Amino acid sequence: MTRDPRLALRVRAARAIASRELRELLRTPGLYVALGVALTAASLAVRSVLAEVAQEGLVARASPLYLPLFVATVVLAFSAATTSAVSIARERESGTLEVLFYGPVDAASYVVGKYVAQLLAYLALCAPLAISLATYGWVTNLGFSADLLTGIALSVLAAACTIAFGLLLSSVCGSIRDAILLLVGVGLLLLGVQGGSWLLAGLPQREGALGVAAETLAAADRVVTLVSPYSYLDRGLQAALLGDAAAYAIAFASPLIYAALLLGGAIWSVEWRGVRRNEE
Amino acid sequence: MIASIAYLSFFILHSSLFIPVLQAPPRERHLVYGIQAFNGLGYSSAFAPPAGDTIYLLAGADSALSPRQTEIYWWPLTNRFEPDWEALNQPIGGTLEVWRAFERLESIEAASYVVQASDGPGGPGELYVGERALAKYAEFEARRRAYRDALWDYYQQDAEYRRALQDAVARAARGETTELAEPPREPAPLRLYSTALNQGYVLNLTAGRYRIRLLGPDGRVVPESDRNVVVFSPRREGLSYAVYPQTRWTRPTGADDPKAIVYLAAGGVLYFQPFVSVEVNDRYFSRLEDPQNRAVQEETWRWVRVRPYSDAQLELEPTGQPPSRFEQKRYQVQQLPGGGLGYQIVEQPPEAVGRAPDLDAFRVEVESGRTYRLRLLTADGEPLPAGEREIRPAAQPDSWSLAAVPAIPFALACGLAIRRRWS
Repeated sequence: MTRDPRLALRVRAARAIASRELRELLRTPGLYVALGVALTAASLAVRSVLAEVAQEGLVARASPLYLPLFVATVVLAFSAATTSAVSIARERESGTLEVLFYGPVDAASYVVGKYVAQLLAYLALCAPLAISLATYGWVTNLGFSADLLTGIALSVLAAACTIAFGLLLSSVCGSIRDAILLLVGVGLLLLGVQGGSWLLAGLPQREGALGVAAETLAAADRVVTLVSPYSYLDRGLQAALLGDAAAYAIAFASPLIYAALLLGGAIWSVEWRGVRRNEE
Repeated sequence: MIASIAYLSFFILHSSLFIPVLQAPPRERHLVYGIQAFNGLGYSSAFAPPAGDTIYLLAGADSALSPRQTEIYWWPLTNRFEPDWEALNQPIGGTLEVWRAFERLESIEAASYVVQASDGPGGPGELYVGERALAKYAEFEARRRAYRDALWDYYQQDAEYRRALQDAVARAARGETTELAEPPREPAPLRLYSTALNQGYVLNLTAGRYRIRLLGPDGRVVPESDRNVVVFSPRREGLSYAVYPQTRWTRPTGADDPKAIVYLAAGGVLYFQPFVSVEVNDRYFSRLEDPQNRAVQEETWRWVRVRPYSDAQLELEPTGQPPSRFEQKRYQVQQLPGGGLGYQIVEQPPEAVGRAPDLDAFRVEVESGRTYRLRLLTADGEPLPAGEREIRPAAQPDSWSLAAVPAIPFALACGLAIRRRWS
C-alpha cells in the first residue's frame, strides 16, 4: 500500500512548523513568566489552607492541594490561549503567513503544527508543576496524593481545548489587537453568564422580566458548562474520585472531541479568510 | 415651648417615614403543600409555596405531602414566603396523580399520617400511615397525659417536701429532731416527639423527575396543585466523623469524605464520634429541607450524617509505633466554678443514665508533630473500610520557602530576557 504523498508532505510541514514554534516558545521568557505566575497563585492558595488550619486549630480536607492545582492550571491554560490567540494573527499581520503558504504549507498542516507546539509547551510545564505541588505538599505536610497526578493529566485535556479555542480566535481575527480583545471579551461573557445566572438564581422572587432573564441566563449557563473545558476537568476529577470508569472515559473523550471541532473550525477559518494581511 | 413644638414636629415627621414598614404585608390565598420529607435520619418539615414549584424528596423512603389552602405573604426580613396557618388552614381533598414524562404512574388517595421521633424532633423518626398512624398517635397522647400527670404529682410532692423541710429546720432550731423523707424524684422527661395527626398523600418513588397534580372530587385538576417532584438517591454511603477538639467542643469539624485528612495545628485531646453517612446532591438536599432555599446553586455534593455508628472500637496507630484501641464513652461538659470562663469534659457518671450526654465519642490524645492512622473497627476487631482516616500536623513554613518555588521560573525568564538582549 503506497503512502499518500500529500499526507506525507502535510505531516512534514506540520512537524517543521511545530518544531519551529516550540523552539521559539521555549526560548522566550513568556512561558516561564506564566509558570511563575501560576506557581505564585498556587502558593497563595496553599497559604489560605494553612491560614485556616492555624485559625481553626483543626481542619479536615480530602484534597487540600486541589485548589492550588486548579488555580495554576487555569493560569497556564489562559496563558496558552493568549499565546495561541496572537500566533496566527501575528504572522498574518507581519506577512509571514503569506510567505509560508507559497511553500508546501496548507491550512491544515499550519494549524496542526501550531497546535502541537502549544500543547507540547504546556506538557513541558506539567513536570515542573507536579514537582512544585509535591514540594508544597512536602514543605507544608499537606501531602501529595495520586489524585493530583490524575488532575494534572486531565488538565492537559482542558488546555488542549483552550489552545484550540485560542487558535480559532486567532484565525478569525486580522490583527493581534482584535484577537486579544475577542479573547478577553469571550472570557468576560462567559464569566458574566455564569455570574449573572448565579446571582439571579439566588433571588427568591423572580417575576416578569427578572424571571425571563433568570431562565435565559440559566439556559446559557448550561451551554457554558457544556463548552467550558474546566467543567470537564472537574467532572473528570469527580469520576476519578468515585472510581467511575465510564464517567471518567466520557470526561476524557469529550474534551478531545471538542478540541478536534475547534481545530477544524480554525483550519476552515484560515482557508476562508485567506493568508494575506489586511490591506490598509 | 418652641423646643417642645420643634421636637414634636421632628418626631411626627420621622415617624411617618416608618408607617409603610409597620403595615402588615399583603396576604394572598394559595394552595401550598405541607411536606414531611425523609432526610435520611428523620423527617424535615417544610412547606412549598406556589413560587417554589419543585419539591425534592429522597428515593426509596416514605414522604408525605399535604395540600392545603392558606394565606401566604412575602416576609422581606427573611426574603421568603410565610404561611399564616392561623388565618386559614384548609386541607384539600381529592386524588393525587403522579406522572413521569407522559405516563401516569399512580393515583394516590389521601390517608391519615403522623411522624414520630423517639429522641426529639431532630432525631431518628418514622412516618406512620392509616390505622397505624391513629394507633401511634393515641399511644403518644396517652404517654403525654401520663407524663403530665406524673409531673403534676411530682410538683405536689415537691411542694410538700419543701414544707416538711422548712418545718424540720424550724424544729431543729428549737432543738427537736425529726425524720425527713427522701426528696421526690422528677419523672424522666418525655423525649417522644409527634406531629399532629394529618391528612395527606404518602409517596415512595425511585430516583427521577415526576409531576404531581391533585384531582378534585369532580375529577378536575385543582388549580395550583401542579408541581414538579425531583426524587434523588445518595451517590455514596460511608462513615463520617464529627471531631471535637477539647479546647473548642462546641464547634466540631466534620471528617466526612473517606479520603479526608485531619490537619492539626498542635497536639491535644480530640473526641471522635462516628456516623453512618450518605453523600447527596447539596442543592437537592438543601431544597428538600427548605424548598425556598436558593443559597446553593451549583452542582456540589455533601455528606449527610444519617445515624450514629455504635458498637465499635477505635484504633489509633502513630507512625512507626504499635496501635492503641479505644472504647466509645459518654461524656458531659462541666463548667468550672467561679466567675471565670472554662470547662472540663468528664465521663458521665453511671447514675446520670437519664440525662443525654454532651458527647458520645472516642477520646484520643495526639502529640504535636506526629502523624497517626485512625481506624474504626467492629466489635470483633475487623476494620471498617470507610472508617480509616489520617491525622497529620500541618506545618507553617516561612514565607521564603513557598516563594522560592515560583522564583525559579521567574529567574529563568530573566536570564532568557537578558540573553536575548545581549545576543
